[in-house]
Amino acid sequence: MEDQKHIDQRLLQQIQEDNQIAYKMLFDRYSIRLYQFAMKYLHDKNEAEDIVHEVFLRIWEKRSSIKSNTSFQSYLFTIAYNCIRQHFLKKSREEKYKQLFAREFLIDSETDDEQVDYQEMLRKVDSIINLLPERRKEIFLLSRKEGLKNQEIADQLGLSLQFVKNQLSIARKFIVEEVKKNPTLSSLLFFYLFRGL
Amino acid sequence: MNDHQRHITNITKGKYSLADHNEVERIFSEKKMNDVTQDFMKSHWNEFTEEKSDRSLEHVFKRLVRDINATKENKTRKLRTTWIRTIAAAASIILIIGAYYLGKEMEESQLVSSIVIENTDGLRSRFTLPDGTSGWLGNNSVLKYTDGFSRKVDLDGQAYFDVTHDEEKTFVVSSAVGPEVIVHGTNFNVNSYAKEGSFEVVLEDGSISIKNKGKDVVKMVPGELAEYDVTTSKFKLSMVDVEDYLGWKEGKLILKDRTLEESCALIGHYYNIDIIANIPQLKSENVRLILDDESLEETLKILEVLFPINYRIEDPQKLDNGRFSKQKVIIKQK
Repeated sequence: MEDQKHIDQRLLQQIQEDNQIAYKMLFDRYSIRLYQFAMKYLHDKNEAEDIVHEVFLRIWEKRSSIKSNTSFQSYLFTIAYNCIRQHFLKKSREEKYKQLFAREFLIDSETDDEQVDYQEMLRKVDSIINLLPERRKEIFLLSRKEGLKNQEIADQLGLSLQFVKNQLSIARKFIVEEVKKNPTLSSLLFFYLFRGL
Repeated sequence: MNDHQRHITNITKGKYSLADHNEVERIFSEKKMNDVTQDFMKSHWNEFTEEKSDRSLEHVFKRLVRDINATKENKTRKLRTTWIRTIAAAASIILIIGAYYLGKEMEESQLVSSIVIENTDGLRSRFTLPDGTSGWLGNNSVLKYTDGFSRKVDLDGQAYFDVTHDEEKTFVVSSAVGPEVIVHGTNFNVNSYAKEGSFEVVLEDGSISIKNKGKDVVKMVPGELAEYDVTTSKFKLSMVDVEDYLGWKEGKLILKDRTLEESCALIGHYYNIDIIANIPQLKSENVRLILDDESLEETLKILEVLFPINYRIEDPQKLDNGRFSKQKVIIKQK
């Protein structure tokens, strides 16, 4: 353990002198671990790689202010944690409309959030939205995902306001029908495993 | 486990509920994470054991280099190429560990051989013996056997043997250091440089025994390393990763469980140079390094990163006999 700290310090000193071999060595020491840590929270290879990239870019940029007498591992954990949580929050914001969609069409008021499988919910929402014809889907997503007002959508796409309203209304009816017609669309949302644990 | 920890755990397991997600989102949104939660996440960070991963992140590193180069001001072309070159150099490096050679001069063995296979130029070579036994001879190594081959060879240096099976006649590898390897048909590696007084055998498969001063002293099983200590005439046996001892056949130098002093000697063999290491306080520092196609200079730079040392390369000197001495590297403690 002490040996490891010693190596980290040695490498950091060298990195502070712009030694790129030391930087590569530091990367080899921690990148896989960082990747696996990020995977634990983000479950996405590309995002985990982005975390590794961001963290190490930060280390290079901040190299002159990293104190080599403190634990590098703790320092690394702190930056990694911050990057991971920012990614998590960003992704979560982008997915918010799916959650609202699910609450509107798929999850009834009796259902406890603890019973809903989050990732299954996302997949389900995507597959329902994908059932919409292209133009209608585009309008629907601009409304839900981008949060545009009907008039804004009309302007952006060069359509009449009434057309946009009609399309959204048809989309809504279509989704309600699909869910009613095909109960597996909503029933599969339940997180069966949970109660048993 | 408190509620925070339960939600976080579910997230990390990859199967989690809407409630887990929203709760973790809330925890992550807080400006300052509470200490208990932070410690909990840190335990995930710490629980990572350096298990082997077949995932390579080299492409991520390449992207980093690109980004760093793009943002660097006043970057000269020269520096840029340094980057690329140093990356190639450092690509196959792992870190640290070790045992060491005694550096004792040994007497020349009394050989009556007439056939000599010799690698003096820092290269390694393949050999085949009259009985079909084949193998690799390492850098600065000599393999000798008498005419009318009787399945006995003398080795000074390093060799890997793939011995043909012959129940009638055992195959014997003698070393100037003393011990002999008695073989029945097997793959193994012997590393015994007379001038270093070293004798090491690694058995890949089959079975061999080692004789010393006429007596059977060690029976080896596959995967074992036998190291001879010339001062005590004793053998130390340990299980090792055989591949680490055979990498030299592919031109790699694998330093694992080696001290810095020992590593310097091995690096010297590898590059066919003389290394003079004046490192009294560092000789038993652990080294863990894999060298593949690094240049000598790149390797020395890597050592400089790892240890507080300086090096100096001296050009070969013309000797009286018109030949040139080996290149010399002097390593000093900082």
